[in-house]
Amino acid sequence: MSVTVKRYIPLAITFVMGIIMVIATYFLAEGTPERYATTQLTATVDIIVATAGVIGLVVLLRHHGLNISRRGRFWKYSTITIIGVVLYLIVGLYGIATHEQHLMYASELFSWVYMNIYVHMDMTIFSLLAFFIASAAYRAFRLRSLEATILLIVGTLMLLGRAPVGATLWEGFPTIAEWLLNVPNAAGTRAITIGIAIGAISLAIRQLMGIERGYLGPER
Amino acid sequence: MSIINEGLVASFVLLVIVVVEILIALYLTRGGKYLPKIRKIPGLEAIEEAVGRATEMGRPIMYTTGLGGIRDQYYYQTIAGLDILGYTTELAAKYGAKLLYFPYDPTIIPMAVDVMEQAYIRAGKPEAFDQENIQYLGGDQFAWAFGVLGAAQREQSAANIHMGPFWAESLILAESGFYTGAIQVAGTANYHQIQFFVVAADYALIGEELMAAGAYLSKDPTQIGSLWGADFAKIMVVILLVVGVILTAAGVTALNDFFAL
Repeated sequence: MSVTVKRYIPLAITFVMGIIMVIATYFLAEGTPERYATTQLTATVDIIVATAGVIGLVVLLRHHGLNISRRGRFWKYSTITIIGVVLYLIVGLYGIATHEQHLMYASELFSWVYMNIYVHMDMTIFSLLAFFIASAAYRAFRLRSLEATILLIVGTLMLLGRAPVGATLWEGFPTIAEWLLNVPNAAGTRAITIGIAIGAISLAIRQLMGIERGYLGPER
Repeated sequence: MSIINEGLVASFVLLVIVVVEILIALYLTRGGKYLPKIRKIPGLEAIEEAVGRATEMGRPIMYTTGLGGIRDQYYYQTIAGLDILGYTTELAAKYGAKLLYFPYDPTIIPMAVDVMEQAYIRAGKPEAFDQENIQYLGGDQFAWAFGVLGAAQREQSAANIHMGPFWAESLILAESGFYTGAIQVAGTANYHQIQFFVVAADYALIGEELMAAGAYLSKDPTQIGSLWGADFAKIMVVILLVVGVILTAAGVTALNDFFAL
């Protein structure tokens, strides 16, 4: 593939689309046909995403298929993955094939598998977060440095301020917790947010001008 | 009637000022005419240490760019993550370490393939590039997180690098990585997740450090110039804050009125 196709055309598209979006945001009023036209441009992203979904499926099936054929490490897990993907795909396609209304139809069986198998596994995984928070907090709150000591004190005050037992012990704990949240915490968060916003503008300028192009392909 | 949309006048004026500051900095540093000194970012310096450790131990490096894709407002973090992926892959290629990359969003798979291939070419080992090292696990938050976690457990990765937009899965990834004994470098601009990385990872990039990574690692004077320009913008914001506090305390609302435009 030539350098023009691989490098300059993506850079030109990036620049033009970036400028169009800035103009749309600041100069085109909501509800005007021009603004509507620019929002339609984002529909192209949906087309790319739909195509990329197929890429994802192919990459996943190829990886696990090769692992099975080579009898690689944990190939039995790969077999389970492929069976899961193919079965759920069949369930989905069967639902569409037997329903005349529209292509986005999810059959009862499709929804049942999702609601009764997938959602439960997902929630199980999410709930493990509580234990990870506890173990991370234990390590972070150990008195190893001045920062860790401050973290421990602030964390303890926040716990006492937020848990019902804190107010029972002393009515001042919730007030302290509120102040910690609304003053030092808000100040730090806003400083980080301002830095992120300016950093994002700086990154955007480097990308729009084609100065930073590490995310593009090989220069050949 | 203003030609700029209502409520966005101050935003536009500030954007123009910031852009002009950065462009001036780019002009002044163009071609290495002036090279501003930038502070070291320990998180980025630690990547070489992490790759070296993985090489010595003969175990892989795990890399993720969070829940990022190209379709949302967090894309800039994904792009920054891909920049660091290129750098890390190049180091891994030079040292002969294996790097496994786990994209969350399939839209970035083609970009990741290009970035990693380019890195192997730069390292002088194009033949060592293996697309099988890019493993798609699925597009659901916790399914993906536990796919990465499972891979880290099975492969016993020596180094875990997480750079991009993260949400609730940040601590799952970082804490499980701690238990496998991997050296961990993580960064995100999602300020509500930064604390988890700071606590659980060995090195953390905080907010804007992630966006500065591409310029920092490239050592390109022009790119570094943009960081210099961004620093001027931050100084301007601090001055505006101080002036705003003083004016408001004195009962003058001119600045507040301007930001309401």
